[in-house]
Amino acid sequence: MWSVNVIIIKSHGMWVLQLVSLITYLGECYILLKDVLGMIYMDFTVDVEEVISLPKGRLVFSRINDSMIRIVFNGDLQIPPKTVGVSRNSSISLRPIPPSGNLLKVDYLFIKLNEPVTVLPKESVEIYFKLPVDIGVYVNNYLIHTVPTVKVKYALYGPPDLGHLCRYVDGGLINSVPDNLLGITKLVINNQSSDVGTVGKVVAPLNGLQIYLTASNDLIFNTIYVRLADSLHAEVTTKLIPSKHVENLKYLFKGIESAYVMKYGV
Amino acid sequence: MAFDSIIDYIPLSMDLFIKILIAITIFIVLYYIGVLVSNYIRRAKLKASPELIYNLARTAKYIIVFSGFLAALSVLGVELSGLLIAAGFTGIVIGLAAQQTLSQLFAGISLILEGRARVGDAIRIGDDWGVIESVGLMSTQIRLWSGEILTIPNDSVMGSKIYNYSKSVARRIDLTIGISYSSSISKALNIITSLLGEKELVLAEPPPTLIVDSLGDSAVIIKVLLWVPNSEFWTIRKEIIREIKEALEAGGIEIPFPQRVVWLKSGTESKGAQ
Repeated sequence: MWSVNVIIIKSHGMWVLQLVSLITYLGECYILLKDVLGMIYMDFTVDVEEVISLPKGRLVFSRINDSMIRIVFNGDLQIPPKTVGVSRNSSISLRPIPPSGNLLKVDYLFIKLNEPVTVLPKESVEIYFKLPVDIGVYVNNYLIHTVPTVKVKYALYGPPDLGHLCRYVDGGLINSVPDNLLGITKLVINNQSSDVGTVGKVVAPLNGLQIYLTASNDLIFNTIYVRLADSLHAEVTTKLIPSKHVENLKYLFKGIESAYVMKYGV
Repeated sequence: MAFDSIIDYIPLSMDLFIKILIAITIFIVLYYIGVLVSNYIRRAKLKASPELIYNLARTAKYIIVFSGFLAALSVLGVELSGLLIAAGFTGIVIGLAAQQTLSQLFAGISLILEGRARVGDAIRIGDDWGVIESVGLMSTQIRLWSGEILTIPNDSVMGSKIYNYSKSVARRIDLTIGISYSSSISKALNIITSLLGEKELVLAEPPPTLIVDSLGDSAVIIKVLLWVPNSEFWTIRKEIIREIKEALEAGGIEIPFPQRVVWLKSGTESKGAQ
């Protein structure tokens, strides 16, 4: 499911399919800041056309005139094209951002655990799983476009008239914290009820997700806390605490601490 | 002579003229206050539906203007208590005579407060489909999909089944697909499941449900139930039907059409024809 394993290959008018060619272009019209396993972190300008290869297709930036560019995705994903006012001098940046909606605007993340987790009363468990990242296209630090790196699916949480549409993610559990922390997210489930609780899904606000970059160029997300009130209700809070304590972390995407009350079952 | 008598009459009736002037002034002032209040309510950023604000503004205007009318009458020396008693009787008479109108009015108030249908909602009332243009105190206007404006009295709206398609964020598409008896059911189910899994706007949760529903006359009937975002209902529906047919055909699954075997009897021999 997790797929930030992106090799960025950028060409100037034509496809370049080898990493060697990528390095050749480093000195031209873009600066590849990071090219470590799955890092999508680059700045460039668009003179005529720029092509970025991604796992699910190619992201093409074409200049329409001196002040406008068109962004088109050709590949397996259906991503609406976008025309944006960007001057020739303006730098375009690609940055990893938390998962969001593609064809649909959504505010929540629906994490379906591949196996329900049972928590004893007054106990806590910590679960690690991987979240996908999207690619954010920034111009002058303004987010103008998002491009998913995996197939996007949505889920309905709650009844159709009262519930929310959410970005759906399969939470493939990881038994222990792996050395490679790419996209790792920690879920802390705290059962505050006096009964045994079982959690099969978690709904978290998307604006509460934060991405950090480790010194070894890994991406990690912040921690999601689930306070289980009873068998049906839980409070989900996105704490701005890295999923793993690592020295010299820096922000790549800043989220805000926010909460969501799950009232239609956990 | 008549002119002289009028001139003579003016000083005698000056008091009455002044009263009339004051009454007219009061009415005009309150009328404009009513208009101002109404406009203010319409422009106010209230957390209420447009139809509620619209009708609240109108009601406020009518109340203020009516108060102005009563105040003007009071200045002219009309006894209001008598008027109110008369109004009571008149109310009963009007109530009996205008039963239907009042029924529409109360239905309108109920409709607005209940919020069963709001301006902008896509609804179906009986056989009429469209988007609500306005919900007034007396009637509701619907812009039909074909463009016409349909005005329905509120009591009819209240008495009808209203299907509101804008209240839900997601809707279910129900499809019925028939495959031939010679085709593999498992393979057909796999093809459809795989196709639905690939579609971004087919919700992963609730997951699509495939049911082998019945053994029909000419086909094995499969029901496909899938949830999609409400705003994309029709787009997805038309895409899915086409894609399922194409995928099944590509997978070698036959979608049969109804067939009937006719036997033509000739003499003692029977001949089969299809």
